[in-house]
Amino acid sequence: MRHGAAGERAGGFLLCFVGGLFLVLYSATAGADESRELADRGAAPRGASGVILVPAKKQPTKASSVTVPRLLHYAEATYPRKALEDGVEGEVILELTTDERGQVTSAKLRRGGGHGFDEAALAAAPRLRFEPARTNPEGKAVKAKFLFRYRFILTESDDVAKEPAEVGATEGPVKAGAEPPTGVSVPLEMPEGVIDVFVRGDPLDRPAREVTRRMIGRRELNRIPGTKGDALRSLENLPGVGRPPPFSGLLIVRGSAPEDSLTFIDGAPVLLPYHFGGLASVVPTERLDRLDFFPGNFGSKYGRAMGGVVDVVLRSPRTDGYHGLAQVDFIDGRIQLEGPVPLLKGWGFSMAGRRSWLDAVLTPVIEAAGAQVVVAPAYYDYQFILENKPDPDTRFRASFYGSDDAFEVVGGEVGEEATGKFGLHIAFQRAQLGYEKRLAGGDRLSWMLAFGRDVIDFELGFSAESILFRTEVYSLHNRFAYSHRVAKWLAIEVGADLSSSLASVTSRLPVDESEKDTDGRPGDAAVERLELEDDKVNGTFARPAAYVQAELTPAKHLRLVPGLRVDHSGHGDRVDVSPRVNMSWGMFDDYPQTTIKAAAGVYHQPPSFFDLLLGASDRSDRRSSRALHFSLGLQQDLTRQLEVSVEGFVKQLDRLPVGSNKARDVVSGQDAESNEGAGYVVGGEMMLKYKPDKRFFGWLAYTLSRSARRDAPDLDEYLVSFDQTHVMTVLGSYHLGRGWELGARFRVVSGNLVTPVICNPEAEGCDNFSANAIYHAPTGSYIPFPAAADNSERLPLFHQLDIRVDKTWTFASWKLGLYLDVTNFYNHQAAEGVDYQYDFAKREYVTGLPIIPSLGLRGQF
Amino acid sequence: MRFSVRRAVGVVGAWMLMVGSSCGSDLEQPSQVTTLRILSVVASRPYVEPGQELTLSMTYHDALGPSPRPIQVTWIGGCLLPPGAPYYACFPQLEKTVAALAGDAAKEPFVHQEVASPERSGVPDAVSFSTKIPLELFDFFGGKKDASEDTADASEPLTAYVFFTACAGQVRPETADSEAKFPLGCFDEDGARVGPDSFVVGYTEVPIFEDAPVNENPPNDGIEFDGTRLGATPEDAPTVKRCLGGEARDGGCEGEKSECQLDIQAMVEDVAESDPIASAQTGEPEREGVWVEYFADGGELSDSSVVISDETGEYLQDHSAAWTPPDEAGIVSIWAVVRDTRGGASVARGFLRVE
Repeated sequence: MRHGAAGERAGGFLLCFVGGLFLVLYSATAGADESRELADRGAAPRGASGVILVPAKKQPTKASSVTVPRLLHYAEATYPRKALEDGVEGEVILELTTDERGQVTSAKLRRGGGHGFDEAALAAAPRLRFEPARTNPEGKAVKAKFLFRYRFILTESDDVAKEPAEVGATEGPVKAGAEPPTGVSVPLEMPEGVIDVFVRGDPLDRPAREVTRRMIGRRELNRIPGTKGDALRSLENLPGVGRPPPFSGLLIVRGSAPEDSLTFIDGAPVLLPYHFGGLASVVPTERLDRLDFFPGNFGSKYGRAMGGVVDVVLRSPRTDGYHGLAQVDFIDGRIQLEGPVPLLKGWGFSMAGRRSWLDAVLTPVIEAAGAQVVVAPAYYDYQFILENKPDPDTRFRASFYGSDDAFEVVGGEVGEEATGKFGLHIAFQRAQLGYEKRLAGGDRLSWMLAFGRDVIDFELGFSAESILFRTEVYSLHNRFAYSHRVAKWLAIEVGADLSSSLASVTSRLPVDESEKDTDGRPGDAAVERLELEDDKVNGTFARPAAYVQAELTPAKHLRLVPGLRVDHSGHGDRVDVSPRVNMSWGMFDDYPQTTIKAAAGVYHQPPSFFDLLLGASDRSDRRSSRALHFSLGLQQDLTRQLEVSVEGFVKQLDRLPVGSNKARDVVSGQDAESNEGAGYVVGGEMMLKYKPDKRFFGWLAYTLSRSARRDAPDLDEYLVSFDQTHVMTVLGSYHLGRGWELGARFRVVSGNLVTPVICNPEAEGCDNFSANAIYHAPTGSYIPFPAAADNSERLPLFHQLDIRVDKTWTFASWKLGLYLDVTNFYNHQAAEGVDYQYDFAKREYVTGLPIIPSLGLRGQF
Repeated sequence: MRFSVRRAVGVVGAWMLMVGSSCGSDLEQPSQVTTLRILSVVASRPYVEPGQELTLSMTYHDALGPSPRPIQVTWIGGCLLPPGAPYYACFPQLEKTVAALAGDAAKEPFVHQEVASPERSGVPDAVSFSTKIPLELFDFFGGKKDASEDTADASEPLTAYVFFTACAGQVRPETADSEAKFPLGCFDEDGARVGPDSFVVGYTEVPIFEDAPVNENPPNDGIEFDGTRLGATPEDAPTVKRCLGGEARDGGCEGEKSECQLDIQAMVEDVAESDPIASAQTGEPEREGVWVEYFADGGELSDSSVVISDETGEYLQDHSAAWTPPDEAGIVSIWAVVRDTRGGASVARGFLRVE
C-alpha cells in the first residue's frame, strides 16, 4: 500500500515534470520554427557549412533593387582558446558597413556571444572583402549595411577550418552564396540580411568519430540535479548507463559488467571512478576540461576493455590571473587555486584538494550501534598540474593526482573483546607527463607517460580470525600517437599503448573446501573455526599494444574510420587482434541535419591480475575475454536547439571467466575455473536533447536492453544481476534570472534482479506453503533451500525525483554560489534487495536511500 | 511574485507530510518464539565411535496458537557422508527410507515417528531418538567394516547425518522441485500443505571417530536475572512487572535501552574444553568457543546469541541479554541453549510471571 501511494505520487510528479519539460521544449521548438519560417522566406543554404543568406522580412522598397554584397575574401575568426577548451559554442552577429569597393568600413556588435567570441569576430571582420552592393546586377556600386553572423562550432574535423575554400566553391567551411537569393529588394542605404559563416573549433586531442560519443557541457555538468554537480555521477543520466546499486560506485554501461569498463584520466587508466561507493567522483568537476563517454564501439585508441570507456581530461590552469575556489557542503569541502607561474612565462599551475566530512557524521552513528571506529570513514583527492603552452598548438603538462578512501570498524563494545571487524582502504596515485603538438598541415603528435600506484586493502573477520586481502600494483603507462593527413580525404593515426605492472597480492583466505582437513568438525557449521591460509604472490605483467586508425571521407559527408588494434596479453604469449570500423553519413548539407552511423568491432579484455595470481590452478594460459560490438544509429536535428538520436546495439561476448562459487558448478561438475562463459547484450537507446542556451538545458534519455550470460554451452542462459530492462531519465534546468536556477531530474528504472530464497508472496503463482530452509542443529542456524534460478526475480520499479536550486551572487571580482540539492525528493522507499527472516519464513524489501538534502556554498574568484 | 513566509512554511510542511519516515522491520528476531520452532537438538555424544549408542533429544515449542498443538516428530537416520559433502547428498541414500513414510514407517530401521502431546511443548529434550552407530553402516561405502578403513587418513572422520521434522499435522513424501529441497511435506487433516509456521525440517551431523577425543556437552545450570533464578515451573516463577507501551518499551528507532529491561543470563561457568584437534593443527593450546542462544515466547530480547567463551579462550563473565517484558500479563518461557564449536549443546528453560 505504501508503495502504491508512493507510486501515485511519483506518477503525479512525472506528469507535472514531463509536462513542464514539454512546455519548455515546445516553446523552444516554436522559437526554432520561427527561425525556420525566416528561412522559408528566403534563406538560401549553400552547402553543409557554408554561407546562409537570410533576408530580412520584406520591407517597403524603392523602385530600384539592390544586390546583396557577396563575400570575396573570407577572414577567419580565431576560435577562442578558452572556449575551445571548455567545449563552448556560440554565435556573434555583426552589423557591417561596406563601401563602394566592398571593403568593410565599420563593424558593430549587434548580438554578442561572450566567451571571447565577440572580440574574435570583431578582429576578423575588417579583413573581410565583399563584392559591393549594386543598384542592380550591372549597376553602380553603392555603400551597404547588412548583418554578418559568425557561428563558432566545435568539430572533430582536422584542418578544414584552417583553410577556407575558395569563395563560391561547393566544399569547405565557408562558402559564399553562388547566387543572391531571389526576392531580395532592400533600400540602397540598408540592404539588410544575415550572412552566416562557421568558425570551427578543433581541440588538440579529439579522438576519431564514434557512433555514440556522449559529451556533457560544463553548464550541464554543474547543474544536473541529484549529482551535486559531480561530473562523473552525471554519466548515469545518459542513455546506455544503468543505475548502479546504492553505495556500489559501479559504472554499468550497456549491460556490461562494471569491471568491463575503463575510466581514463588524461589517457591513463585509474583504479576507480568514484569515492566510497559513488558518493563523489575522484576528480572534482571544477578540474575537468572534458568528459567523453563511449558506451560502445570506441576507437582503436582504447583497449583492454569490452564494456565502455570514460575519458576524463583535466583542465588547463588559467593564466589570466590568479583564481581560486572554495566549496563546502554536507559531504565534503574542496579548495583550489590556479594561475600563472611567477617568473616563468607561458607556464600555469593549478592545485586542488578535497576531503569528505563523512567521518564526523558516521563515526558517532557507528559507535552508537555498538561498534568501535578504528579508521574513520573518509575520502580525499588531490590534483596538481604544471603546464606550459608556448604557443596555441603546443602543450606540455606535468601532473600529480590521486585519491584515497579508508574505513575500518570493529564490532563489540569499546573495551570488550572484539567480535568482528571490517576494513577497507582503496587508493591510487598517478604522476604523469604529457606533450601535445599540433603540427603544420593538421598533423598531430601526442605522448603521455604515467607512473601509478594502486592499493586495495580489505579485511573482514570475526574475533581473532580475519580474512585479509591486500593488493598493491605499480604500473607504468606510456602512450604515443601521431596523426597525419595524407590527403584531403584521408587522415591516419598510429599509436602505441604500453602498459606494464608489478602486482603483489597478500591474502589470508579460507582453505579451499576440497583441500580442507575438517578433523571432526561439522562440515558446514555456520559458526565454525575458519582454517585460514596465508599467501603472497607477485607477478609482473607487460601488455604492449599498437594501433592504426584511418579516417576516410570518400564521398561528401561520408566518413569511414577503420582501425586495427593489436594487444599482447602479457601472459601465455597470446596476441589479440581487434579490427574495428565506424561509419557516419550526414545526409544533408546543412540544418536540419540527419546523420546515420554504424559500427562494428572486436574488443578484448585480458584477465585481471586477481584472475591470474589467485586460485589453485595455473591460469597462465587464460585467454582474454572477447566482445563483438555492433551498433547502428540515427541522429536528427529537430530544431536548432533540439536534436534526437536513436541507436541500437548488440554485444556478443565469449571467453568469459566463470566463477567457482556457482551452485550450478556442483550440479554440472563443470570446471569452475574455465573461461568458457558466453553471453550477449542487446538493446536500443534514445536521447532527445535540448542543447543548452541561456535559459534552459535538458534531455530525455531512454534505454531498453537485455544482458544475459551462459556459463557453459550446456547450461541455461540467465540474466546478469545488472540487467535493467528500462532506464529512463528526464531532466532539465531553467535559469530563472537574478542568479536563480531551478532544476529537476526524474528517473524510472527497472528493479534490480535478485536470486530469491522464497518467492514474493504478492507475485502471481507464488506458493510458499512449504519449508523454505533446513535447521542445522549443531549451530542453531537455518540453511535456505535454493528456490529459484539465479537472478530470477526483478524488484519493483525504481523511481526517484531530485530537485536542485542554485542562487549565484555576482560581485565585482568574485562570485558566491549557494545550492540546495535534494535527492529523492518525495522519499520513495525504493526496493534495492530482499531481506529474510532468520528461518526464511518471511521476507521484506531492503530499501534504498531516503530523502537527502545537500546544502552547498561556493565562493569563486 | 513576492516571497511569503506563510507560503514557504506551507510548502515545506506539505513536503514533510509527503515524505514521512519509517524505521524498523516486520521480520521477527530468532529469539522471538511465535510459531512452531525447534529450539535445539542435542546429541548425547558430540563425537561418537562405531558401536556406541547415540541419542538425539529435541526441544521444540509450538507458540502459533493460544495453546500448543500435538506435534508429529519424525527422525530419519542411516546416512553417512565423507567430510565436505552437502547435506542433500544424503537424499539419494534415503530415498527408500523416505518413501516408506507413505506406508508403515515403523518397519524402517532408521526411522522413528511419534506424536508429542501438547504438554511436551517447550520442555527441554522432550522428544528423543536413539540409534546405535552400527558397523554395518559402512556398507554404504563399499563394505568397509571399520571407520578407519574408509579414509586414507585414520584421523579423518565420517559424519553421521540424522534428519528430523516437527509437523503440526502429518508428514508424507513430497516431490521436490530441487534436489537440495527436503523430500517431505507436512499436511493438515484436510490434506492441505501447511506452512513454515507449522512445519520445521532440520538435520544434525555427528562426527564418527575410531577413537573419539573427549567432547562433552557444555553444562547449563539454568537462567537468572539480577541474581534471581527463573522458575523451573510456572508455579515457582518470579514475578516481574509488565512493560507498557510508549517510549519505555520501544526505545525509539535508534534502539535505546528501554526503562523496563531486565538482564537475562544463562548460568554458565567457564566451561570451554580444550580442543586437541585444533591444538594439533596450530601447535598452540586451543579451546573451543562457547555461546548461548536465548529464546522467549513473550516480550523482546535484545540479543539472540551472546558469546560466552571466544576462541581465544577468554571467558566473558557478562553474557546476558536484555529482556523487555510484554505489555500483557501472563507466564513467559525463556530458553537458553548453550552451544560450543564442536557440536556440543545443552538447553535450559525458565519461567517468569508477568503482572
